[in-house]
Amino acid sequence: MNLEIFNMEVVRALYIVSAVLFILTLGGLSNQETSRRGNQYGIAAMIIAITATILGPQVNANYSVLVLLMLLGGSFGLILSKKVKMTEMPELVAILHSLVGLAAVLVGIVNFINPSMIYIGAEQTIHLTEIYLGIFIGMVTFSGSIVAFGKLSGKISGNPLVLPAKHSLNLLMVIIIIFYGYQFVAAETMNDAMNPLLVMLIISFIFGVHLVASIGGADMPVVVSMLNSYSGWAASVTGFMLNNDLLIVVGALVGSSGAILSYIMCRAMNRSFISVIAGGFGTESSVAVSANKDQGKAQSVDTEEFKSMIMTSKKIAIIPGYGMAVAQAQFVVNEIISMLKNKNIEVIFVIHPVAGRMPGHMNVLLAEAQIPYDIVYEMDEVNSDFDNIDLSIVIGANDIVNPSALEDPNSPIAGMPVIECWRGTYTVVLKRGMSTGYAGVENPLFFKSNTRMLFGDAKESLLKVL
Amino acid sequence: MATEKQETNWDVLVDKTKTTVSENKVLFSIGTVSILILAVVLYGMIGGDNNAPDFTLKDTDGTSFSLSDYEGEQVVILDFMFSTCEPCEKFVKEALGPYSEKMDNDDVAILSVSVFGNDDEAELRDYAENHGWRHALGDSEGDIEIAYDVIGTPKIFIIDKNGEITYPPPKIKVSVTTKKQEKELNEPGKVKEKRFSILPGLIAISSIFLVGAFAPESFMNHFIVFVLSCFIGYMVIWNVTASLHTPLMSVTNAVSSIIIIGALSQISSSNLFSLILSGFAVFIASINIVGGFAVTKRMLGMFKK
Repeated sequence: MNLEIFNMEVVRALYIVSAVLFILTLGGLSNQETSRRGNQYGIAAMIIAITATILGPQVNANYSVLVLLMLLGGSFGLILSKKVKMTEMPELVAILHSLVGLAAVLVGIVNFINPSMIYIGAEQTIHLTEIYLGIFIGMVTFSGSIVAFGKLSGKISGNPLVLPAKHSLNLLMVIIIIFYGYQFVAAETMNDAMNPLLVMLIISFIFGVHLVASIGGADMPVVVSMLNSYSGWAASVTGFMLNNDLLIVVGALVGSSGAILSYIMCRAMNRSFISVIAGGFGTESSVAVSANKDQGKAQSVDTEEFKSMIMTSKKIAIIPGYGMAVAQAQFVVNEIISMLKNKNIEVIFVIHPVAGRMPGHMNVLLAEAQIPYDIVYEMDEVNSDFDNIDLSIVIGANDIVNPSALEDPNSPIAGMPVIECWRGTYTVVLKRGMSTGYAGVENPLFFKSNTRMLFGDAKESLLKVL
Repeated sequence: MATEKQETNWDVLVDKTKTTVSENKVLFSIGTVSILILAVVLYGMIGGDNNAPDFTLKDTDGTSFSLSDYEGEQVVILDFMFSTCEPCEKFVKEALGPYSEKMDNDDVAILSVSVFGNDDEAELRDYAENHGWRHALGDSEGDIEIAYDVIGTPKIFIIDKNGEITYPPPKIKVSVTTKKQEKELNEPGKVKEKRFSILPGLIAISSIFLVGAFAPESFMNHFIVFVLSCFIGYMVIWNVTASLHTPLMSVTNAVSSIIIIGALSQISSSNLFSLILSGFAVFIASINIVGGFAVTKRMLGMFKK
């Protein structure tokens, strides 16, 4: 809109306001009380940025198309957000990442074929490199996220794809992309540059697919965070390309956020980022499992005994794993908690960082079941306190309570931080059978003298306690 | 739009001629400092190893030796002490002495290092005569104490044949700061310095020099914004509580759709192909913005005390 007052400088000033609000958005998430306000800051920042751009000099035609598309997309997004189940959050986040990636690709291509500025010399080289890089990162984010979505939703097998010479294949693709990048930047005319661009689009699509397909199901929390990071870097590079500092700032914020989350997830599994990218659990670790020794006999209890164990305890720690969410047992757990509260029995939850399928997933699942967040603790807050806990109840978790991570240096999960519930007086494990977890490792916890197994569906067992 | 284009072109041309050395220098130094700090932080994030710091000392027989001499040969029980320290004496009588009598000398070596500069060589020789193991005088500068973080005696370390400290056990780096740790971190003087290696610094300096040497000024301006934003992101995100990591991901998802303004700036194009592509980008970015913020709101609404 050609309002005199909305010149580029005013738009930039509003972008500064928007950038500050975006930082406050992330800052607000430092605790539950301020988090809702944080989200509102984010919405305000987005509205300011979009309005300023539309009113500014860059947009001067096609308003009806613009509004229509935004309304259409917006309502689509709204429906998506209302319909999604909390267990499906990783899928939603993955598919939304792919949209950011695709948008980055489209913006890059449009900016290339329809430049708003003519550059010369070194600036031109840098500009073309930015376009190429932006499209590349966007494309990898796009195709990688689609595969991640497929894996998370079970449409694609969770097993890592192991192609022969997969590392050389990746290297080859990177070399091809770099080579065509050179061709792209060095091209004299736009037509000459078109072919390298198309080749890169196809190769980077395959690259993204292959990158995520070769990662195993257990490593998905890392992959989702990694793609989160990529979508941020894509936005940031687009900002360089368009000379837009707001995009650079916001992209960098998101990029570092995703990077930190990936790091936290890797730490929680005691895996290096490189080894996650290079291939997943279940490929090499399955060999080590064959070294099983006879662990002795697991002692089982029935629901009656389980109930009396609960009733005679003063402090109970519940350790949920994703199995609890699969059985939809968290709602029953909440009822049990309110019952125990009336009997003055203290109950806390202990969450391992990789208890869910994405960072913080378990906390959301518990919140959905209306379990108050102030009785939900992180692993590190409780691990030194298990002496004071009379009963730990493990629901649908396995690897995250495996003592061999600390005791057996040859275990595939050695060194992974785990919840040390065996230090408490008693542990009851709710489990269908004696099968192993994601990592395929036998769990010595089940055979400890202060552990009891309660076999059967977690939800039904818990209903009997009520 | 047409006039805008010409103006910008002029700016570029004028900038090219007027860019002075001094301006470049300022940008260059800010950029260098930022990148250096970034490198240090990243290196710190990745963390050091658990190798026992090596040292070379003279023992009471006057023989010069290094800790690394034991590597591959013997497990070392490294004991920091001084002869007039009463608890050290007690520790030797009740733990180290009895152990030394029983132990298999081929595999395990005890090494006492007198620290804090309390003993001279003669004193230590007298003191050591009663024990069957090597005693050495620590360095007068206190470098060994600092390297091993010895703040009191007796203090022992067990170093395996690979030269790695196995006792005290390595601290598992935790992914979230608990309240207790927060308190510790806030206490002055408790922040432990990370080991610094020269290599990342050198790489950072040379790469920033390359960027500075070849990149035009406009790029450097954006680059500074980028580096500083990464920093803000780093600081802010570590403060996010682990229980809100899923909302964090969904909100950053919505936030990264800010890329929509890139598409908006192209939507007024008269070129149909550009219009279609940028229109589609606006559409999918809108899905993301509304979807991301709405689902974050929904999730945050569930968190109740």
